[in-house]
Amino acid sequence: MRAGDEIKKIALARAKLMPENLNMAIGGSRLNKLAVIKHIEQEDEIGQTIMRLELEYLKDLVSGAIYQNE
Amino acid sequence: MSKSLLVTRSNHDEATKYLYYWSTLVIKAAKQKLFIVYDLAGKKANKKNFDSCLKSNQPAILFLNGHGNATTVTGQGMEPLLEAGKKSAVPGTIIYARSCDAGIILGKTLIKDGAKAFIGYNQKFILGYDSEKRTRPLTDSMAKLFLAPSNLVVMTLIKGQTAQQAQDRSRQAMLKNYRKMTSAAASYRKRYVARWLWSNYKSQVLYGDVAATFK
Repeated sequence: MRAGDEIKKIALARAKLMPENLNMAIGGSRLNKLAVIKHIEQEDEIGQTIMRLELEYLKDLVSGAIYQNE
Repeated sequence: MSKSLLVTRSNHDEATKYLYYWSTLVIKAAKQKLFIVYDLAGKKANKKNFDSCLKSNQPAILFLNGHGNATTVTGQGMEPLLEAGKKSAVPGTIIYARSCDAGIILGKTLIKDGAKAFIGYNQKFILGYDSEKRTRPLTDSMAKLFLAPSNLVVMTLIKGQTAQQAQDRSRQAMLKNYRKMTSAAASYRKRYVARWLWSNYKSQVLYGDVAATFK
């Protein structure tokens, strides 16, 4: 499995946990849970952005960057 | 340069509606500090008004709220207000662009055009909000976690503090919110959106003279 496929799987799994009454505004789009899932599945620009966000966050967790300012 | 603030705040979709309403808190604070406020709200946030206001009033601080990309920040109906490569009348101005991606290219271009300092984002600006509060954005405690720290950029500048202090106070407030949102005491919803705020924290950039003030 390619790294891109892995991060897509992770982003999708996480999107499925998104609370129903929550919205995400990003790049001119208003996204509810279903829309987030759809964008990731389609791997369009917004979907790619969300996947990149997940990847960067995971990197920051692993590198400890998130804890550096504590 | 007069003690003045130019605000653009379009209002044509849910994201801009949130920025529109949350900007009112900054406008109110600026007026209390005796700033002259030029408020291009809703349909008034168009290119013609914007250019005219910039040229004739030369505001000390420019606060842009709207959609954007690497080279552009837009107003009502996505009309470009500032574009990289089209020289803008921004000399001596401190600019905060609350929009996506403008820190990638546009911010640096504006510094070359003579702006004192630029604060913006080199990735997408993300806003989490409660779908049940979308008709009353100022009562949305979820949105507050994102927009109160970003408001601090201009809130700090109007106190006469430097661009660096504005950047630091805003980012520190984001970090404080992030810590709260990821604590064991936080609700699941807050923990879920914490990484969106982390993304804004990481992508907020400052260019130009870090010691710049409106004075």
